[in-house]
Amino acid sequence: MQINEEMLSAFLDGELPPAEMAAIRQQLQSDVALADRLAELAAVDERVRRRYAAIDERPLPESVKRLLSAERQGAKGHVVPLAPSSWRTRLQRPISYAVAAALVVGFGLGQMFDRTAPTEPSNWTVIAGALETAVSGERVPLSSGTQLLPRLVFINSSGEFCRQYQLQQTGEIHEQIACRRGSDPAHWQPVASVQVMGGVDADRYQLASGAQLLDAVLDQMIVGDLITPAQERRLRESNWSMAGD
Amino acid sequence: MHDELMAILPGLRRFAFSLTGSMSDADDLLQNTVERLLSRERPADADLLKWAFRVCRNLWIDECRARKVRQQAATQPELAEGQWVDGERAARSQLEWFQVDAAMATLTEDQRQLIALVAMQGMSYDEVAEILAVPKGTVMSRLARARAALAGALGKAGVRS
Repeated sequence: MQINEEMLSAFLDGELPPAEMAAIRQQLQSDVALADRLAELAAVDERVRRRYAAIDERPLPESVKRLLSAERQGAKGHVVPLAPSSWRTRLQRPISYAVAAALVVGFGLGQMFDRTAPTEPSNWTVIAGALETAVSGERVPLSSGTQLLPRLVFINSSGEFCRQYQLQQTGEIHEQIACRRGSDPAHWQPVASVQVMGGVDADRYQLASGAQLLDAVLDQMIVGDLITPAQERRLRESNWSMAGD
Repeated sequence: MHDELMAILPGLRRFAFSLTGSMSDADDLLQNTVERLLSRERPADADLLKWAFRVCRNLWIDECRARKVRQQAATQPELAEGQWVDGERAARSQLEWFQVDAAMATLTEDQRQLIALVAMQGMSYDEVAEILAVPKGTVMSRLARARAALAGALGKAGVRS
């Protein structure tokens, strides 16, 4: 079969009839030049995708957030307090910027947004324990074979301390938020979670739409500045009993 | 509609970026698009995704007619390059970005849209045909030419990240 550029391009998109898809697959096995050309075209797509995903790292304009926020208030009939943008400003500082940029998932994999507690209660005790003592930016291995990476500490509108963190377990990555409530040992309660899938090579990562969803939740929750590393240390040392200064 | 819109916003924003070639222009375009989507009644038979991309594209075409930005950027790549003022460039391969920008600038507006919708957004030819209001066969042939042109431009540039 004579395979032209148009067919090869459509093959890349899975847009040919099944018989032609199969015929090209067959020919690719023996035709090195054809395989090379296909790789070249696929590489073009990948480079273009990566280039334009770069805008994900730039914070969504306030004007667009205001539009969406106004729309939501109109639709649901209640006022969502707008968080100050200071946390985002802080995220753009060099160290914290890496934190924001690290909110990634593999390209093309689905994300699920879920405001209910996504974590099994038995695991939660372990996670809550780690949230009590873990240092932001430092990965903590948990006993159940999972890993926790705390990223941010902030105060929500109820005056509770909250942490945003990544939970990684057997091929799954969750970006979650938990807040510290009450004074019993159960302390930390899950508040929000973006479930993403892992297992993709690092150089194929790009920002996920899940990160934007998490941004929207953080925007609603954060009151005032983020807790600084020094404040966070004092909080951990005092069992989270004093207000951030 | 808020949640639906939030879900497609990142893709819409990348699409805007690929059309404008500048992050700040992309965000202006995104804002106009969101404004339009929220202020207009959604056509009864329209899927939000397709409608949103169509609105975005149409706004950009109007903008191009008014400003002829793209021609300027295509003939003066250094001008388009000067528009990237964002800090993340420092942490990325500037050469890689420059090469992709330069390659995309060699495409026609139609070709750029096709690459953005199919290669970046992963849309089907049927969806793209509907958004761009052209026959599916046209999508297939134009896209192949666009990919070949990009491969040529990027191949000449040589260096890969």
